[in-house]
Amino acid sequence: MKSRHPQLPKGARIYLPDEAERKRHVEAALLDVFRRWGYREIVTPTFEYSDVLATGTDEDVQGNMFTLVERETGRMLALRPDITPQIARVVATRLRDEPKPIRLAYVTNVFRYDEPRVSHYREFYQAGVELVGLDKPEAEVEVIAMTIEGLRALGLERFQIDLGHPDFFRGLLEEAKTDPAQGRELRATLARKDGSTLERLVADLAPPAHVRDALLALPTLFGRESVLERAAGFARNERSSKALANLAEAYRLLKIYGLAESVLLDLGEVRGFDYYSGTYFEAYVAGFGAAIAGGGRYDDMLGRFGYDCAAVGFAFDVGRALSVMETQGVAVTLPGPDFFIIDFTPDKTVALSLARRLRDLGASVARDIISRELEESVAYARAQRVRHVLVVGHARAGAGEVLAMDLTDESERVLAVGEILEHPECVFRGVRHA
Amino acid sequence: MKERLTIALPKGRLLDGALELLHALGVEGIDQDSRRLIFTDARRGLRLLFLKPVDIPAYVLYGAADLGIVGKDILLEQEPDVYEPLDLGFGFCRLVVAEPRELWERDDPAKWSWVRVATKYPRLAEQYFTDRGIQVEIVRLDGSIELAPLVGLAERIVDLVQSGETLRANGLVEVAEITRSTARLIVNRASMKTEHAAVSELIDELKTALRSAPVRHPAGARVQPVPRVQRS
Repeated sequence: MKSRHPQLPKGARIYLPDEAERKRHVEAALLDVFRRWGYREIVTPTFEYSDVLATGTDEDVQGNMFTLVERETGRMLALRPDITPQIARVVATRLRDEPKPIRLAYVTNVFRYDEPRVSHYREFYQAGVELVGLDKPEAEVEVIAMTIEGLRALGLERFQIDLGHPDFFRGLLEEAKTDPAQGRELRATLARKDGSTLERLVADLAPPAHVRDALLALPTLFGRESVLERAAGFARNERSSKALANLAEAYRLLKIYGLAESVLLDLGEVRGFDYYSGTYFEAYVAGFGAAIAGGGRYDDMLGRFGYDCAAVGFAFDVGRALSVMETQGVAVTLPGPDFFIIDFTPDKTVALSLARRLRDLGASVARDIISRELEESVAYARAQRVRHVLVVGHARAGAGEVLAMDLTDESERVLAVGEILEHPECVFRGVRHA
Repeated sequence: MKERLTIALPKGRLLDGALELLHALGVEGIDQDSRRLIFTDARRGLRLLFLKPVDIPAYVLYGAADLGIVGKDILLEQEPDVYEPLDLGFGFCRLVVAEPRELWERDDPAKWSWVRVATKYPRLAEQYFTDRGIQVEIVRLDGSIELAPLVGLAERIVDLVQSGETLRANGLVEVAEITRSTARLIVNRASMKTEHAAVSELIDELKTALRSAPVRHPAGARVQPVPRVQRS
């Protein structure tokens, strides 16, 4: 019978040490960006009551929550499918009296019964921020600038921020007097930028001529600044024109930030939409068919928890970021231990005192505890990407001496134990932290 | 020179139409008879991949190709998360339910409660029958679907028909139409943004080329979407 041990549930993912180190690198780089913009980390529970989590969560995500039952009460619990509603609740209940704006950051796992694809699993990791209490477009522009800085911090190139505003489309739907089913179908069609189906739907809908022209133009209303002018001709209702004015202001600020060339205006992008009350954006990187970060304004979110307050935010999908970095060949250095100590003497005191001294300086030090030939131990050290091997009690060095091998340049020298203990930083220049 | 865009082209029945369209855009130097799977058009900086049609959505979804040409039937079956900006008009065909003539003569589709069908389109077939409250057992095959009823593998089939000649030759009769299909241009979502200028230019040129080309599918052969279950 085949062993069942390798089996994992669908959508579960293991990060082996090299992968975990890369993942930690991404998370640390992003947290560092967030910190530099004045954001502080917040931690929320992995599970909560499902009805509480459902408040503020899009319907399609609600249907994909992992649920379980609380033993004492029989109440339904769920693993968080999204952290934003949790933070909104925390702000509404625990931080509402704090002076604004509130800047919060997080790195967390979230859980959804999604069909795993494009580096997306059922447990996935997000690194993001929430900026609460600002209703001006400057807030959106701050988080867009942070997204771009995050992409750069990860070493990524050839990215674009796709910037839109749901109210432009919502205003057109109101003018066209669509019922919910028609609205959903239009959205699904626009999400594919499917021009021929759109033509058929709009013909069936028979809206006023200017609305018809606007709906048909949506898939092509993306690009640089000229989009705003082209769209202005279609925005005859208040909702759509307000949305455009909002986007124009955001774009003006992005130009001042010097970021406009990383941003494409896209009025035809209508995904993930219920969430956002204002401008929203997604980050795309060449060669990867899904957004690796996204965010926007959700001024209605805190209100669902009884506290009306403006908010914007965004998150990186860490797994996708890792995948894109691999595609673009972004190297993350994965150093092994700085030192590997092999002690052939029976009492090992030299090894222990060297290890203690070097670790106190911040170096990473591993010891070979298995008894084997020197060549085998050195081969092991190489496989572990060790920089320096220190050999004690071997024929190639005398009593009170250490054979020091530098695996990065293959040089060797014999050093006195006392010398290393007294001045390790002089003997091993370039040792990390040391 | 680095190729600016990669286009995935379907081998098989849609290839002639796809090449004709590319030819109208000035893409040359493709040797169809060669067994090579990659061609480069130096003038426009295009890289062309020749693939099995069912594989095209995956290449485009994952960004191995920026664009692709593929039948709507395959898009409906796979629902890849890609843009689909152009109906290219050629390659018209229909996805139908068919059964042997002897069965058809005494069959009443209104009375179906359980059917077994052989198909390359398990998802569309299942959706079609379950939407009508009919239980269905799908036998998933990769080719020569028409053979299945003749050897008793399944009573009915769900398959693409163009002229209907293959059905007739195998003694099969069409019972119901599930959907219609033509070739579509699909675009990787990131390419649409990060290669915005090049992709838009190509789409515009294709639109122009299509406008000047004769309509190649019957008038009124508008592609109907399958009524679909609302995805939660």
